[in-house]
Amino acid sequence: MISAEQGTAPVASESDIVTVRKISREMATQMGFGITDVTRIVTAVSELARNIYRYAGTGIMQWQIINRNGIQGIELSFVDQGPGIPDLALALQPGYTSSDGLGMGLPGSKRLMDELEIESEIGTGTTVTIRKWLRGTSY
Amino acid sequence: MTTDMISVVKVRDILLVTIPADPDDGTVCALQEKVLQAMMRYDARGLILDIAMVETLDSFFARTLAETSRMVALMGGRTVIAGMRPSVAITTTQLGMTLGTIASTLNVDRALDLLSRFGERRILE
Amino acid sequence: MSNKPNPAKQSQHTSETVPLSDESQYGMRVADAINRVLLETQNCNTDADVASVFLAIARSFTGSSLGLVGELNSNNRLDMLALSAPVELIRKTPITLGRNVDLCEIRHKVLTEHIPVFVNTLNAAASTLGLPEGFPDVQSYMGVAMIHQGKVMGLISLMNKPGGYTDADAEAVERFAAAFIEVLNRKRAEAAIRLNNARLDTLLKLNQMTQASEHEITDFTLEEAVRHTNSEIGYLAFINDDESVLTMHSWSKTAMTQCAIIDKPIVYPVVDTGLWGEAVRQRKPVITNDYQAPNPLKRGHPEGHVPVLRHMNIPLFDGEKIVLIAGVGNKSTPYDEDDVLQLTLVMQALWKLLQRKRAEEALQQAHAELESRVEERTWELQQINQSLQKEIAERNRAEETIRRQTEEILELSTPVLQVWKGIVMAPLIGTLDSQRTQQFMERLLQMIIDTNSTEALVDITGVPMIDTQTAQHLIDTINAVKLIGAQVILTGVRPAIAQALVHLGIELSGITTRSSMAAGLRYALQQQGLDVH
Repeated sequence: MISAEQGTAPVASESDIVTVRKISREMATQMGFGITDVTRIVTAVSELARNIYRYAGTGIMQWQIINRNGIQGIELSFVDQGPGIPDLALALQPGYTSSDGLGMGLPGSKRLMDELEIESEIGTGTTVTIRKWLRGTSY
Repeated sequence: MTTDMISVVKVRDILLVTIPADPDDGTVCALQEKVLQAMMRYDARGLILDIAMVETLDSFFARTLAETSRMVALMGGRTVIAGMRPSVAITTTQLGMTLGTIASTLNVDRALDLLSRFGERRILE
Repeated sequence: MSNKPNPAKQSQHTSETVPLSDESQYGMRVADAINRVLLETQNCNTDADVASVFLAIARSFTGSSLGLVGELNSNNRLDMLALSAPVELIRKTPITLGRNVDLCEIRHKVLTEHIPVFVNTLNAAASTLGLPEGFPDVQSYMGVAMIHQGKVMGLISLMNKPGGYTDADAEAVERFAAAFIEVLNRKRAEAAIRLNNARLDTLLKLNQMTQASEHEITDFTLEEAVRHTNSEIGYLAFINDDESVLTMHSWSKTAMTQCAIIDKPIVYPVVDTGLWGEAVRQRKPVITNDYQAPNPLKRGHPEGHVPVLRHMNIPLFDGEKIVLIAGVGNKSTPYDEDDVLQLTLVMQALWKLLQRKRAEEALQQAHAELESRVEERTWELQQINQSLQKEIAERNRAEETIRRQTEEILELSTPVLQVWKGIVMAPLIGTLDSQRTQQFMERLLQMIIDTNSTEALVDITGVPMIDTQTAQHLIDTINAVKLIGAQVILTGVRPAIAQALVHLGIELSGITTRSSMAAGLRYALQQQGLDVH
């Protein structure tokens, strides 16, 4: 049971990717997301956490429960001090894969979540923030 | 998670692999290794990947499965996945991932049926 | 390569030359019956109509002479919803549908074990099975439980099939009963939503009437209360502090026109009042559904007053005290708890609004006075603020209920039914927005897994238009079904849709399509035949 409404977790190893999947699964389930939405969130988290690990080596995932106009949602931010993404528009295009054959998972994550924002600066780092809102019952 | 978590069972000339709920990247890679070794050792002509317990299928996992299937095909075998969960199916579809030419079945029983219908012939994709 | 024909490459030619087995032909008939149930109940307005249509189809399918649908009531007995019989029988005897019918042994068995039961040598009198007097004896009988979301809600009885019932009959009726239950529940949910929408509308309108006078507000509320409880007349009376005197404030318009008394007294001591003062004396809502019958509470009505056949009134409490009485009368069907709730909600809203107005007026007065009133003003403002907050919360809750019910309707309007072993069917009606598609996909996939089906017939005859988003949703659905190990057979693609899809550049190769549901079913049955070793 996750008791806090927000938190931070390191992403610096393969087992960290598993850990943040577990954390996001617990949070999303606790918040009342249906099983399919939980799966979407965890999958997006997996993609973005792996991006940190593969491209920046180390970073963090921050999460918090948010509220907009009385509707609850989950917000997750993936922050690293890695090389940055040179062409954001390209990276967000569906079907884009970087040179080493690993898709960056950004367009996919965008499709799975309600909102996705990126800030990236070459040489400084990248922050990807995703959000999903609770929307009533679903299986 | 270690490679011991992946069990590869031989049923006549078909390999059956039951994949755990949330394998880490290392386990996923180990799966590929183990499968190919077993293909060679048992001269299997089919591989069934039971993913009924899998809760998350991200692009890395999907890619590895597709790769494994292509490698297995080169070694003379055909791959079938069984028991994908609805939530995983929906997410995979909406993520835009394809599993290439891997066939899908509702469960392991049907996977065995499907593979047995291909008879003794080897299939190259 | 493989022995199994690749579905994507199979041509029409092949499907026509392979004959269907007897079993598959029967399956076609069942699916046809399901279709008919869904189609022919579309225009039904009442539950009884829906049940009647269903019974006619069930009778003709099984060759039964009689059919009966009953729902379980709170006494665990059956209230009959519809009766279907040959025209000659219905004309001969006046039909009143039985209520509170006892469960005979067979029915009891069906309802507790949730399986169909049939007996071909019953020899029971018609009345023992809830049929009207004058109906022939029942020789053969088949009962099928009506199950919705795991709970038994009623029973379908088919009777007097020449030659007796068979297992095949039982299985078939179970199948298209599922369609009937879906429709029934959907219609009810729709009716409930319409009612709730109307209620919410009234509450919202009331809250906006801040500028109107007290009398305008109470008159409006009364008219709405009469409307929402399907009544003819209504009245509203305030009560004094010690709850001894009622002051009549408003009569609904129809009451005013029907009532002949010119000089209606305005003030009534509670002790002198008849039925309509009961709510004060008993301090709770009072329903009287048969006013003409000798009623110990009734004290006769004076000449010229509106004749009252059915009556309901409620006391409205503010804390421990009753502050007003509201009553309605002459609904054509009996009043129930729902009507009480209705009236209460609307009167509560009225009372709060009146209080707010009075508090505002008091505020304005205090404003003109000296500064020693400042504290009082602040307190009053706080009261108003608190009640506003409560209103907002209540409105949010009401909206939440409506939204949830709307979702339930959405669910019900995308039924997924098992048509035969290994085949499910989903007729899509209307447009597919994201939320609906989401629910549809989840339900379709789960149904496929639950029934171990390999074919899913998705019919889009009822989808009027298709845009990029809808097309994408459809393709996602087809792909997701493929991923779990089943196949979608898309049917009912009309020319306009076909054009739209091609113009949108949607890639549809690898998707199995057929021109009609029947053709799709035929194909599915063939696939099933090939799947069986």
